Amino acid sequence: MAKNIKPPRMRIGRRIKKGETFKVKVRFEHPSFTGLGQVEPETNPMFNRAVPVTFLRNMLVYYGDDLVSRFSMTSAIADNPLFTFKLRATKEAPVKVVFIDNNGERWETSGDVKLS
Amino acid sequence: MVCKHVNSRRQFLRYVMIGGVAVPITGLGVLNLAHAKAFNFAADPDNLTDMERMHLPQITLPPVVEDGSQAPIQLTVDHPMEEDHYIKSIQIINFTDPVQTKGKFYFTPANGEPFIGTQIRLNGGESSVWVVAECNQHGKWATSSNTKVAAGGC
Repeated sequence: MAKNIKPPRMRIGRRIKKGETFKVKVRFEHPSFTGLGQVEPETNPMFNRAVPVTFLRNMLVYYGDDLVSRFSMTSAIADNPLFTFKLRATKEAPVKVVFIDNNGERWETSGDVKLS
Repeated sequence: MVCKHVNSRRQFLRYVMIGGVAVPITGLGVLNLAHAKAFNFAADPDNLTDMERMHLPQITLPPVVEDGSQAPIQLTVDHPMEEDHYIKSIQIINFTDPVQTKGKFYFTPANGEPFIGTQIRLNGGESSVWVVAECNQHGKWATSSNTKVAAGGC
């Protein structure tokens, strides 16, 4: 694992009512490089591959055992992204988010949904 | 970087046709000429119909972005998300960037609301960020938002 990667962290609201939607925030400190660079920006504005590309390719969201969302990303997602998405509260169950980067490495985080 | 602007429906369709060649570079090449005809746009942006209001994505993007490597973007669609009628996906594209497709976000009715907030990379200068929402019954709906990026982040 690269040194500048930290495990993802999740935040879920506390007051969640059944049937309503709630926000989930996931922060993942993971670098993202397009790998592109301009050799001569003044004379030749074309981009070419300068360094190896690194990015989060997939983000899978599970609510209980169900896969509810899947995010396919490219290297044009920012470094250390904060993702915010919504879910409909139907049950008390964990929300699990799995990240897979372009090298196939995998990380996950989870949080419990407690209905009030 | 030569900066081209996509501000009209005609320009969007032209880029989508070009995208049949360019977009596969990103590995998410889902747009091509066959799909271009299937896009829906707001006929009159100031006077949306109920169908347009329900399906056109709403983009929250600052008019000026200081750092193009961390451009915050929020997308939502005012859709009921029922079991048999829901937004399947939302895709973010900027045709003037070297990596045009930023990501595609797939939803299910369990989401309750098609909403995503994240940060993307944008090249310097003026650009139009296009967002395409796909409904399982009513096809693809596209809208755009213009922004100026002070320092490019690609």
